[in-house]
Amino acid sequence: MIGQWLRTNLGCYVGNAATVRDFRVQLRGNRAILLWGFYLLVLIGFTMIVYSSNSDGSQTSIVNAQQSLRSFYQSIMILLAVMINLISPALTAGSIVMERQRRSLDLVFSAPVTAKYYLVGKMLSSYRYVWMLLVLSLPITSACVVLGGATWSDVISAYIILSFNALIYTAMALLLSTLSRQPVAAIIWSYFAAIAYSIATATISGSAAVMGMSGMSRTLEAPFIITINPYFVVQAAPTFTKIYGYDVPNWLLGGLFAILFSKIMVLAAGSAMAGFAAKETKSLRIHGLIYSFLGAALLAYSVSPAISMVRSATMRGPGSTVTATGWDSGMDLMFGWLLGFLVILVPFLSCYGSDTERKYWADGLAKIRNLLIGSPSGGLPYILLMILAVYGGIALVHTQFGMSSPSLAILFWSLSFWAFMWSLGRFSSSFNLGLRAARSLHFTLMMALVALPVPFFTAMGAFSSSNSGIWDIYILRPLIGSEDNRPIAWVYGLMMLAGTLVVTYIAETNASRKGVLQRYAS
Amino acid sequence: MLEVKNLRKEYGGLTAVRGISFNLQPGDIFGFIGSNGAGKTTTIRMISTLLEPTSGTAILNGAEIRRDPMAVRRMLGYMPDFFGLYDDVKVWEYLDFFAAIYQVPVKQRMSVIDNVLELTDLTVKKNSFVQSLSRGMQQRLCLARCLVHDPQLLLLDEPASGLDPRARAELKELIAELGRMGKIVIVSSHILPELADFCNTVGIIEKGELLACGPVGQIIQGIGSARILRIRFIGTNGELKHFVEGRPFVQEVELAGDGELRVEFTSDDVAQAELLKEIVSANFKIIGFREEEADLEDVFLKLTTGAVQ
Repeated sequence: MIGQWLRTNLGCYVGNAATVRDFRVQLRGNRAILLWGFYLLVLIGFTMIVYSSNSDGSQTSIVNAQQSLRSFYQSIMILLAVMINLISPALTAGSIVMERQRRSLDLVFSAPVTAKYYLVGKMLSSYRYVWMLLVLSLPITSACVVLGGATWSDVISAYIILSFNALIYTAMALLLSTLSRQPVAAIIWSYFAAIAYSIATATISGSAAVMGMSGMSRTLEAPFIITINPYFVVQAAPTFTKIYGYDVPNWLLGGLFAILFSKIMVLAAGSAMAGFAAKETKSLRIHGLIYSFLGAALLAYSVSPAISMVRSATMRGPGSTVTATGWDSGMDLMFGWLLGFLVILVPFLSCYGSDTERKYWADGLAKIRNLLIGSPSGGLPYILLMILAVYGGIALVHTQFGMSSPSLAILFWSLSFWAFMWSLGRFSSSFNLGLRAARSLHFTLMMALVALPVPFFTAMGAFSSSNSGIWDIYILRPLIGSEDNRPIAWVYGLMMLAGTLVVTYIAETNASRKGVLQRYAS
Repeated sequence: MLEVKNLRKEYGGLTAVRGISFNLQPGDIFGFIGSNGAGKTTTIRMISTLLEPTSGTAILNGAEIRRDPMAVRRMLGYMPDFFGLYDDVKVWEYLDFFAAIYQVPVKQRMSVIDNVLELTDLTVKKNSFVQSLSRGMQQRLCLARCLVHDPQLLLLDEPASGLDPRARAELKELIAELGRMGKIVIVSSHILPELADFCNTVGIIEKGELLACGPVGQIIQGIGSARILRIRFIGTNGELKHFVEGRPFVQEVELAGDGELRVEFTSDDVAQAELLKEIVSANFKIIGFREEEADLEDVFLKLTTGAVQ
């Protein structure tokens, strides 16, 4: 049993037919040589420019020379980060969508091949190419070691981090390639996702770097989150996380993150390729819940010790005005904002309609038994369960550090708010525009409610925690302000719940009137 | 053996296939006839496990398409109505890729590839790039791809579309050979003459419904209510026409050109022989007497309304 499982899984990674075929094509003819030659020329050219700008040719102190060499090394690494940011999505974005256009996927999936096998094969094809490009750049970065800007240990750790980041970009592009209908759209979306990921993780990694390396401990101990952005590779390479007294290198934890991230991307792509109620969909949904729980726990674990320490210190300090309620409110806000990732998932979970051969029919409002099979009626239970998973993750860690969990008020508001967002998905689908159009409309509606009012409200008056104002009608009111928002959260939660009922009623009435299911009868 | 049991596919309110059932034995070459949009491809895609049936099932040698799709896939070769070829890949690499995903052991792959190339007469093109092959060769390569794992069932969706007459003849011969090898072959097409030549069983589908299914001869006989006889003679037209009209089992007689009668006759071979005997006995000068064979096209046109196009 275990042997069979091992053979099946190893077969995905070693000697995968898709990887072997792509390897032959990638290295065929002069194209590969020309591409690599161009790549090396860019690297060498950039290196020479940076080196000449860092060395002015005159005598300088050892300290200055060391700094110049260090900044030379940093520049090379940032160039490599840019390279993988640009190359990984480009190499992967066409992999599935082009097969779909060529209509060769039917040939592949009429053979005894699982979606996982094929997707892993395609991902490895692209990822291996990125690895080849990284290896090609080694002679250039080794110059940094020879000149004294970095140690071999730094370079190797940095390469590992870069390669894991390449895996993340590759996995994202693979998913988008599976979801797209046109290669151009796949490439654009892949770059868009890569840029969004880079910006989001730069913010997180930057904060983590500041908190871990300079603010708190002034050592190389830092949250591993710092490794998930390629542009922080130089700072992240030597850092570690203390786990049960052991110094665990952050590249190892970052690698684990990248593997888990790519796994869920491959599962999502597999679910998108597979049919209704496929085991890939069930697996994706189970993984989604586990990841939500673990992700929330991990984030809470990363920030809670520091918060706990600062909280105790500030609350005990002379003249302190910080109250326990204020801190707890902060935890509430963190929980509420953390659920922001649902904005991407909710359209996929709540909308229904036609999508070429696969149909997502309105099979009822909410059925717990359809929680994992991917039908629209399982959407609401799944969204609510995911929120509870995030809450559970944070609550578990907070209990460990003697801190209170996010309040029940914010939990109630979150459940109501996302249920309301789900009802907007049903509303968008009720117009019978097709699945993609419904998802787009749903996302637009959510953005119109969440993001669009901000500039207007800002223009009309600054937010104040103590006085009521225009911001009190903002849909995310319970998530802004430093005061205790629990009473507001209860009230807004009730309003969201009422809104959910009204919008759902309108959506269902509209769907019946439009005869969504009747459209295909003629 | 392939058993298709009440296979049905619905898309929302649209029923694409309405409970199709048929059985096929090894060596059967089954012609699946229907207009465009009649449900042929949907049926084939359901049997090939690419599309999940709304209800019903198909069982290939004990493996069911819903419960054990992987086992079914191991036993079938599916050739869609498009090539789906990869660029920059050589013929042997293309086949090697499919041999690998069909889990043909590495040690056997090259000999398997050589064998299927020989069978499809593509040995000389082994090292050519697939995009450099002619359309007929690409079609044969697709068939070779279906054969790398020695399947027991071949699903060929419009295999001869777009081929020139020579390539079409070669493909027909190849399919007939596969039937002789004991494989079950399902060939869908709306070009009826190409099927009539080598299929021993046919199914006629329209609007997702299987209107007739069985051996070609049986269907033609079953569907034809009257035989068409052609009688060529020497002499004046009116006399013989008048004589034949008065004979038993003769439904309708019409002149089909100078010196030829077209007779709709509703009885069997013995009565037909008796009719000839009576005409000759009546001293009419007969130079030709033959039964016009009904073909698949006639059967198809009789059975279907042509509503789906």
